[in-house]
Amino acid sequence: MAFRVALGFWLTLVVILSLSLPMVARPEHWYDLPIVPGLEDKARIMFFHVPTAWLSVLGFVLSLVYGVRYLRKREPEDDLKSAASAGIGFLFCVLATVTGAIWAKFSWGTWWNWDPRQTSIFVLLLIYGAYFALRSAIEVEEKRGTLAAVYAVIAGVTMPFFMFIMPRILSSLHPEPILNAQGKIQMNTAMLILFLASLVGFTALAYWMWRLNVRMEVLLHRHHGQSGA
Amino acid sequence: MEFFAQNSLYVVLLIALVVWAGIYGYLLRVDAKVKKLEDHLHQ
Repeated sequence: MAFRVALGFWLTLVVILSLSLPMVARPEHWYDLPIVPGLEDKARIMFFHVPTAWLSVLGFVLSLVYGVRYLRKREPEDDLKSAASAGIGFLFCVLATVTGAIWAKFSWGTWWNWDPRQTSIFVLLLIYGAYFALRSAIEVEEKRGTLAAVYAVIAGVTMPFFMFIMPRILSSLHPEPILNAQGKIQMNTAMLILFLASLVGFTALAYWMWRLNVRMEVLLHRHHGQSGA
Repeated sequence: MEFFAQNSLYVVLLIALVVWAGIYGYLLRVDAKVKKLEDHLHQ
């Protein structure tokens, strides 16, 4: 219970501070955030957009790891964990796409313009969408587990290409390369602490959701085992 | 409309808090239900 209460307070605080701390040209107080050139207040979406992208990567990597574990040990719980991880990855990938599109609308003037970042995340969504279609198409548990695990490994291997490599090979309007010569948003201490707090809070939230999903699937698995379905 | 234009950041803050409260409440409810089912199955 303590974990859930702490998470509730933590993320509430992150939301309030992310959207209320002042952004000024020359930060003087400990609570001042620096203005990001070209983005101004729109830069605040970084506290929500980046954690969602990070959690989609984490979810897809965990799906690969549990897929490998399932193929080695054949434990049904590893298959459930692999599917739950892919589910979390997919959910946060959708959220990263949506928050990115909101950002694009106010920075670029359009929700969607097939920027390399947008295209690569769209392909990634299609790849993992097919993963769930594959799972739902096979009824035999062992066969489903094996095929899904193999697919999760292949999809997991292609993920870094779409997330990290492709957007860097092609020229993109995504803020990272255009903000300044160093290619990074320059954060002061307050901004960095808030950003890291957001990453930690969202990761804990994703862990809670993942655990809930696994617990529900285990219950369903036991129920099916008992009823002989 | 002028109020929303001048206080847009706080309007966004309010919406974000309402969304977060909804997600948090929903997760707490699901957690309690799963716990109840687990206890029921263990008995």
